[in-house]
Amino acid sequence: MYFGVNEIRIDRKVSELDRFVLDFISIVQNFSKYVIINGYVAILLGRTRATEDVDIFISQMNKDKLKELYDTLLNKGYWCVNSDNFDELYEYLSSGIGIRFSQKGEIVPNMEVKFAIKTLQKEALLDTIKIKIYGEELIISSLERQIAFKRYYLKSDKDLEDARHIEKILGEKVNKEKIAYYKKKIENDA
Amino acid sequence: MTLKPGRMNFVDYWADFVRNNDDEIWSKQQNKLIDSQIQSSREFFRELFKEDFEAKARKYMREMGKINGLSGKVIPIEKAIEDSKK
Repeated sequence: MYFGVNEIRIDRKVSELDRFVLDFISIVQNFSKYVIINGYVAILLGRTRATEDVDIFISQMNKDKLKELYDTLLNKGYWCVNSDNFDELYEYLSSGIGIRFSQKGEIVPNMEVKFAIKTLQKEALLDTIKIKIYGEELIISSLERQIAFKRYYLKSDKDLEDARHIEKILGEKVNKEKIAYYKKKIENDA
Repeated sequence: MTLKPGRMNFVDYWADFVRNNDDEIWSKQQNKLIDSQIQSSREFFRELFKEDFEAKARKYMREMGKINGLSGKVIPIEKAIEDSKK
């Protein structure tokens, strides 16, 4: 694993989960800014656990643009688990509710997509790191942000372990002030 | 909430392994776990919802609180199997 400036190169073997995420993101990135958050970030960095759902924020967009993205996903072999009614899906997203996509005929793994609506969510789209896996790229949330959210907001055993793993992987490169900054933001937002 | 010592030790052990080995080595080990879980989950749900997959899968995910804003309502897998037969 090579840590550059706002960039990590991982020469890892690609899992089925990675392939699912890389393929989905290759479509989404043509329509919107995005950022991958939560468990998959830790998994990408080597955590020994699997997940059945991957969480991303995308920029808020108007209905026409979302329809283009939605139609493209359907044409590329995905289905939306929530509903087949596009108007309903737009309402969900606009209300801050995630919608899940999986490959047709599957529900695992699935991608939970949310509009970044709240301030902290919008900030996640800006505080990112690029992950390079051979020729492909993914944008993930900053690792300090992930540590803070898992440790001070989500707090389940799994999340605390994820936070610990990420912190250990970062080692001396971890920015403790940044973790403290997000901790404060989370507490104020609660 | 604090981490259980045994699990915490393993998290530390594995993170050290990741840091001290080539990506290809740790990812090969990690992928065995991830790929097998995904494959078995896929097979399980294909079998469970084999006819009318999308409608049954959607109903299951809704009852699990995984979609449409519901949260935390977990149903036993036995009920999901029973429902899938309806």
